Amino acid sequence: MPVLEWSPSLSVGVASIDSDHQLLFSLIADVDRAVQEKEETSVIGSLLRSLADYTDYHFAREERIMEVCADPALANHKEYHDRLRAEVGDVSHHYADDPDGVDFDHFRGMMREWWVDHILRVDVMMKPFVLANADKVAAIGEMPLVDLSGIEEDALSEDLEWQI
Amino acid sequence: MANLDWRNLNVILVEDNRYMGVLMQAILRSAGVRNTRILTDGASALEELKVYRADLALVDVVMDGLDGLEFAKIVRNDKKSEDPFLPIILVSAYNDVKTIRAAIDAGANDFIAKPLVPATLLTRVARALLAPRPFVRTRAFFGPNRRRTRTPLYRGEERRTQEEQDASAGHVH
Ligand SMILES: [Fe+2]
Repeated sequence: MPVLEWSPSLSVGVASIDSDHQLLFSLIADVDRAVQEKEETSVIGSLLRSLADYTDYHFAREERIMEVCADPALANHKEYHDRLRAEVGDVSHHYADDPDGVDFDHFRGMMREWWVDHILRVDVMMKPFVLANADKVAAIGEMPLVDLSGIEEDALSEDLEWQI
Repeated sequence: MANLDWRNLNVILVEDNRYMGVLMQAILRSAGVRNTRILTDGASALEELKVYRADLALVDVVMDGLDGLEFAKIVRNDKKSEDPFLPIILVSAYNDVKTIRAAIDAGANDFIAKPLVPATLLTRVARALLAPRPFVRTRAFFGPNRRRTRTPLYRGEERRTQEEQDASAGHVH
């Protein structure tokens, strides 16, 4: 059974947030499964780094939505995010430095507890603010994982030298 | 500035590790790419290219069967190749000089090391499509110019042959 499985009972009523949660859950489940299957470190490392980056991205999205909705819980909510952001970032860095040193049982337990609790107790509180400000939330539009205009500029300005 | 139309890109992912194929797909999707195909070896990817108009291929170097290097060489050089100019980015956990050199010599546009970093993957895709190196044809090589830089001040050891310079006048996509 996957560590975390999304179900409609975890919906917070905001489509972009629900779909982020689904992707994060599937990344977490993939990390866990890849660890159990003793996949190559480059595979587990890729999954962890992507999970860390996507976690950052998702929290930034949620915080942006709360900001435009003037949700008074933002500061408090952000503290929860900061804690998990740091934890997941640490696991990814730690794994890159020392793949055998990461306690994945701890990781699994932490993910399972944090996410379900956070979604059901903290994220759901956003719903009335989002509903009351649907137009502003829609105006944020689709937020890309990384700033693509920046990426495109990097792509054009980057020295074409091969990294040998 | 040139803009990349991520939503309408067709990307072929050739990767035998089930986690990596799906992961690359998710990273591309987060940038708006809706249309991707995952194939698990070079031979089936070549078959797929007959029916799928890919704008770019992301290809693992090490695969059972036809590997990423052979795939790139066939796309570039085979008489029946669907698209010799197809942008190809090779991906590998082996990022030693020898592997990277082999990737370049096979005609790859770029090389990405695993573990993957999402932003790096997207930057390299954008670079391959927006700032492609010109193709050159010599007796022994066809593919993106293997000079290491296009900076005119650069005078590296790999000076282009007259042949390459002649060939790169004609070009590309
Ligand atoms: Fe949250």
